[in-house]
Amino acid sequence: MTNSLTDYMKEFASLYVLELLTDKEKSKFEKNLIHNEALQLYVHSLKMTLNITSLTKMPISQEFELQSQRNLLRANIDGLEIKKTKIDLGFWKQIKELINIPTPIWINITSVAVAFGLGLYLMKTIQHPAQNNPEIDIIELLKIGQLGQINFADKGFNDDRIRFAVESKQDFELSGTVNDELISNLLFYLLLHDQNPGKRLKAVKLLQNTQPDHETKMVLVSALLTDSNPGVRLKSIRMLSTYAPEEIIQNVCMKVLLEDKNEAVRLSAMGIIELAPNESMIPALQVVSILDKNDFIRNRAQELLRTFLHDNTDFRVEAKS
Amino acid sequence: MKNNINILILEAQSGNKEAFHQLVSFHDERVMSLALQLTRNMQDAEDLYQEVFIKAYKSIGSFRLESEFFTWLYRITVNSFFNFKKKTLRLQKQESLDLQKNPKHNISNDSTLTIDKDEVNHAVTKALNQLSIKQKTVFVMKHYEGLKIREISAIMNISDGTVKRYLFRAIEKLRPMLKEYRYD
Repeated sequence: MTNSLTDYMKEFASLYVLELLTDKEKSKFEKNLIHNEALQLYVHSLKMTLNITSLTKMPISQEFELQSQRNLLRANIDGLEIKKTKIDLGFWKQIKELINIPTPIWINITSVAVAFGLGLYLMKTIQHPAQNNPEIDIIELLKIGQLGQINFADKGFNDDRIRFAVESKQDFELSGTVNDELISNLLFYLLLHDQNPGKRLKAVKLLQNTQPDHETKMVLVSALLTDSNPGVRLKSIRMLSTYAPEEIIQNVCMKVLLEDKNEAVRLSAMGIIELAPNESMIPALQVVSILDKNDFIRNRAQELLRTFLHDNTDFRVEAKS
Repeated sequence: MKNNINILILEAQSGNKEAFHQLVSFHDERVMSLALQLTRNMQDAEDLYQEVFIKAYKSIGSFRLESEFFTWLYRITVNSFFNFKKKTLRLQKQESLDLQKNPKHNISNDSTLTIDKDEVNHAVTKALNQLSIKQKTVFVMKHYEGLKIREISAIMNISDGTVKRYLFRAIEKLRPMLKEYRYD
């Protein structure tokens, strides 16, 4: 029936339901509407469509979630400044070195030859990490101090490959996907060791696309327990929530629930604990139900405690007494 | 209030980081809300939030006090969302190829599924994703965020008439897709 309506009428009708018509246009449209059953049906269907979409508006973030994002933003901006300072210092250092240190020519020639040789060797062995060449272990090189900073170098590329720029005697770049062992090892290394919170955050985000395995899980657990940045901890725990809630994850979440200062992280821990609660958690949950600063977390701990006894005992009162 | 915001902007432009963070706390609820409605996924919205404010921090020097600060932030949000969408499409293409090769468990897919538990919510998200990116953005800004046509046209740098046309096309597309969920 609504097929009989022209596009012009339909457009007017949509502007009418969105309340975008002027008073004059609106009264003209309403006059039309009274006599046109097809138009009435169309307007009704538009209104119902808008009602459905209104019902599914995404819930607005709570203040503590926003606060967590603000803290993360502070860390990210501080990270930017550190990077900038490092670049500036590096530049001045190079200039200073060029001006101040007179180097005998044979040292320069030897350095270039060594760097060239090392570069050739590294390019040969590292350029194709997917081939799993066993001749070089970058993590081992890092441990013995042969390599310096590892930076992400993916600006300007439009594919899904992850690129690293590695500073060493001879700087080089390597790239691959998250499923390459070398790349995932570098992401683990950055997540657990890098000083820059922005880089750690990027590493954990990239790990989202890996296949879930034991090693990734343990790295995430470690980051969750030790990282100073709430954003990194939050991303880690959210990734852990996609794993089966086995004992180690539940234990870690309980520790986080009791000790983490960030409410969003504790809330995520609560979500994981709720997936597979067991009675050994009761004492810790009783503490949380009384001491947690967040009302919502306290209430959820109480709710969970009630499920153990299948009655309405107020654990908070019981524990106090 | 507007004067205070302008003072904070000038302070931030002269390198006062604290002033910038105050600007963030005045505006971030709206940015987060828009990011959430556009992405319909908390994690993506949080990533978008960080990206928007880092871009704003880097380019606050170029902001002229001729327009509203929130309009400027919304413009950054919309542009960042467009870029995010392009990246996601590319990754989805790659993922679908990877899945054909190796149909194993995938974390990112699963987390999206757990978010869309509710059937209607899932249907609306799916329907909104069928719209063109501009139709969706205009619809979200008008319908969910309650912005005026004039504001949307300023943010997206298009005419009022184009905004209205996008809105009409959006509802016209959503109508049949959500037919089953309407209580006619």
